[in-house]
Amino acid sequence: MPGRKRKAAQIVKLIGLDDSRLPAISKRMKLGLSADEMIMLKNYFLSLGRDPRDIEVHAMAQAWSEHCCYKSSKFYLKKYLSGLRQEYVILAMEDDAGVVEFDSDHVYVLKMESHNHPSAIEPYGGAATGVGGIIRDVLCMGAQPVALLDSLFFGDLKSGHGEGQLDQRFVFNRAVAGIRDYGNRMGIPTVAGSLAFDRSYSGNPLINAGCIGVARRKDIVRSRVTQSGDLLVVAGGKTGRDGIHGVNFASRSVSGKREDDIGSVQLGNPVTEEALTHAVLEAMEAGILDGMKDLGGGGLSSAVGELCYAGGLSAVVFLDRVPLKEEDMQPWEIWVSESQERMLMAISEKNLPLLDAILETWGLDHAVIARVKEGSNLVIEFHGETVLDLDLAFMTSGPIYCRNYTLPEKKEFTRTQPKEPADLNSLALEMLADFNICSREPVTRTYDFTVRGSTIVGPLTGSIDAETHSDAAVVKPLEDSFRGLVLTSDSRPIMVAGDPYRGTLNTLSEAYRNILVTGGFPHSVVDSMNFGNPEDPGQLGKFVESLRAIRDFCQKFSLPVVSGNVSLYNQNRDQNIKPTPVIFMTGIIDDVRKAIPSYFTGEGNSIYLIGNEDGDLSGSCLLHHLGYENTSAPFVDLDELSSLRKSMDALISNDVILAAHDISDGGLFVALAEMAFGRSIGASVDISETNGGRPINKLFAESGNRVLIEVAPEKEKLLSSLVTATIKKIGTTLGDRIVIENVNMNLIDVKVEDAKRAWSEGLSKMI
Amino acid sequence: MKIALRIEYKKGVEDPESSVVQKNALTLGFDKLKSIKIAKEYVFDIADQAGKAQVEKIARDLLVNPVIQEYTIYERDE
Repeated sequence: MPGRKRKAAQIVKLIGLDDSRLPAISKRMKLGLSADEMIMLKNYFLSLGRDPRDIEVHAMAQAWSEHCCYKSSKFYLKKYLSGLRQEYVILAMEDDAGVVEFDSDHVYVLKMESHNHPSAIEPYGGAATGVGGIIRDVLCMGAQPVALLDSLFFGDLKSGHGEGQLDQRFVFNRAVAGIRDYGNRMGIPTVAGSLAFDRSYSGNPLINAGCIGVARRKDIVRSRVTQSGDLLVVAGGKTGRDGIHGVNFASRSVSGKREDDIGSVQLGNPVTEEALTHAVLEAMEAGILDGMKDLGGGGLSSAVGELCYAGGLSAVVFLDRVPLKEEDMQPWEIWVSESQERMLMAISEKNLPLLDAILETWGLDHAVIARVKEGSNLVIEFHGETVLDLDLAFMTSGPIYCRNYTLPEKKEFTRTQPKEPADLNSLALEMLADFNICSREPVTRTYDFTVRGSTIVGPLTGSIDAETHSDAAVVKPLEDSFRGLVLTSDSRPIMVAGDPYRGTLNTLSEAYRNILVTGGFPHSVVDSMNFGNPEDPGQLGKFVESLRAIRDFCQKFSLPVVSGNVSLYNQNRDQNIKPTPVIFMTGIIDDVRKAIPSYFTGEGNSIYLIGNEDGDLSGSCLLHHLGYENTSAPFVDLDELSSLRKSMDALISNDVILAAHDISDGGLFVALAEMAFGRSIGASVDISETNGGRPINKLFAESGNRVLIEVAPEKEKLLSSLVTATIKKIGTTLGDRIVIENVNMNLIDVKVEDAKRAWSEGLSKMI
Repeated sequence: MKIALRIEYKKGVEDPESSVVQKNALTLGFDKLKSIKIAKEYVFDIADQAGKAQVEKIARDLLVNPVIQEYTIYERDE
C-alpha cells in the first residue's frame, strides 16, 4: 500500500565476527541456538559469501530447534523405533500423524503431542492450543477427528507456589479449563486420559494431548507437495505476534520470570478451528488437495519448508500476502509466528476457485502465499524484495546430536517394606482418596465425552449416580459399522523414575491390559516422551532406556509405533521432572456391543484373579503416598502378559467374562473397590491363596500383569478349560460391603458407599 | 468511595470473543466497525484511600494474569 512505511529485513553481521561473540547474538535474537550451531550458521553464510538477513537467521533457528528437528532425540528414535512396523500400518513416523488400517475401506489417523512449556506460562491458552494443534495434525491428513485424549501431570496441589511461580491449583484449574473449552467448543469428545500429581512437575506441568480421526483410505492427504506449479494457500486464523519463538523456547527451560516469555503465549480460538475443520473436510471430499500441513511449532517457516522438502521441491513465497492480525509486522515475525488455527494447503491453479469458494462459505481468512517450483532453494519475497534465499536441504535437515548418555546405576533391586499399619481399613480409605488414585470425575465431567454420539464407553461408566472409571474408552467412528476403537493413554512416572526400563514396560503393560479388559485387541502405539535436559547425560540415559523398553515390548507383541512426540528440557530451576513417557495405545474391538464393563454387574458371581503376584511394592502409589521416593520398579514378565492375552482372547470369544478390570494404581484393593463402585455391588474376598507376603503387599502392590474378572457361576467350568495363565478364584460379588479376609483374619471391611465417598471426594477436596 | 478495576488483553493478544462479535456485526451490515475491544470492569466500594492499595493488590494477586492482561484502576462516580 502506498505511503505505509515497510521495514525490510535487516542484515545480521556474522562474517568477520569472532566466534566468541556469536552466543550473544543467539541470546539477543532469542534464537535458542548453541555456540556450535551459531558457528555452523556463520560458516554456511561464509560459503555463500554474504551475511544473512534477520529472517534467514530466524528461519534457521526455527528449523534447527529441538521441537522441529529432534536434534537430541532423532538418533535414538531411529535406532530403537524405526524397525517397528506391521503390514497394516499405512504411514508411521512419516507425516504429521500416523495412519493405520481400520477396516478394508477406512483408516484411523492418530497422534499425541505435548504442550508443556506454553502451559507453564499461561495454562489456559497453553493447554487449549495444545488441543487445537493436535486436532489439526489429524485433520491435515484428511481425517475427521473423532476423539481426544489427554494425559496431564501437575505439581503437588498442596505445595502452593514458589517465588515467581504460579500456584499449582491455578495451573491445574486453568489447564483443565483450556482443554475443556477447546474440545467442547469444537464438538469433539474428550474420552480418555490420565492425571498424575508429583512435586517434580511444579513449575513445569506436562500437558499431553492426543487425537484420533478416521478417513476413507483413498482420501488420505499427504504432508508433502509433489506438483511443481502448485499454489500454497494459508487458511484459517490470521498471523500475529502471538507465539513467536515458541519452538526455540521449547528447546530450553522455562525462564524464571514469566513475563519474559510473553511472546510465546497464544490464546486458542476453537470457533475458527471448527469452521476450518468443515472447510478442510469439504475440500478433501472434493478431492482437490494435493498436500496439506498444519501450522504448528515453527509456523510458516516449518510448514512451507517441510511440505516442499518432503516432495523434493521448493517454493517462492510472497510473504506480504499473508493475512495479518497486526499491520506493522516484520517479515521474520510473519515467517516464524505460531499463531493458531492455520492450515497450509497445496492446490493446482485450476482447482483454486473451488477451494476459495469453500473457504468463503465458512468465513475463513485465506490467501495464496506461495508457488511451488523445481530447484533446491526456498525464496521469500516481501513487496518485491527478496528477503530469504536458502538451500532447503541445509535448512530443513538440521544438526543431529549423538550426545553422551549414562545409564542409571545398576542397583540391586532392594524392596522397600513399610511398616504394617495397625488399621488397614483407614489406610484403605486414605489410599482411595490419594491424589493419584481418587476419582477423576471433577475433571472428566467437565469434558463433553458424548458429543458426536459415537462414544460407547467414556471415562466414567456404570449406573447413573454410581459410576466408576473405565479402563479404556470405546468409540464407534463409523455410522454403518459396529467396529470400534479402544483408546487408552497411560503413564507410570513414579515407576519410570525408579527404573526407566522397567517403569516404561509397566506403563506399556498397563495400556495393553486396559485394552484387553475392555474387550479389544491392542493394535498400535503412539509415544509422547517428556524428559528433562538432554545435555545432562543421566537424563538422556533415562530417555534411551525408556525407548529400549518400548522397542522390546512392541517387538514382543508385534505392535507398531506409528507416531510420537519428544519434549525435552522439562525443568524447573535446574530440577528435572520425573521422566514421563506417555503411552497412547489404540485397540480395535470387532463389535462395540461386546465391550466389557469395568464394574461388577450382579451379585452372586465369582471373582477371579488372572496373573501372578509377587507383592513387590516398588513404584507403587502406596510408597509414594507414604513419602518414599524413587523406589525402583517391579519386574514385568512379558511371556506372562502374552499368556494373559491368549487367555483373555479365549474368554472373550466364548462370552465368559461379565466384567474385567486391570490391577494398576493402588493394587488389588483399589481395583476391587473400583469394580464395586460402578453399580454399588460389594464383594467378599479371601486373599489367603495369593502370594505376596504381608497383607499390605497383597492389597497394594502394583506389580505383575494382573487383571480381575467377574464370571457367572455357570460359566466357571468353561473358564478353567480356556485359561492357560495363572488363575485363582478369590471371592464372590455380594451385598454392599467390601470385605477382604486373609488366613482367617479380617483385613478390610468397609461399606461400598463409604469407600466411594472417600474416592469421590479426594480431588474435589483439594480444588 | 467507588474504585474501578478495568482488565483487558494486552496488545497483540488475540481475543476470540471480540473477533466473533465483530464478524457477526459485519454480517448484520454494521460496516463502520474497525475493531472491538472487550474489557472487564470490577467496581469496589472501599472505606478510604488505603482501600485503593488493597484493590491494587487484589488485582495483582487474584484477578489479573500479567502474561496476557493489563489493568487500570481509577476512581468512579457512584
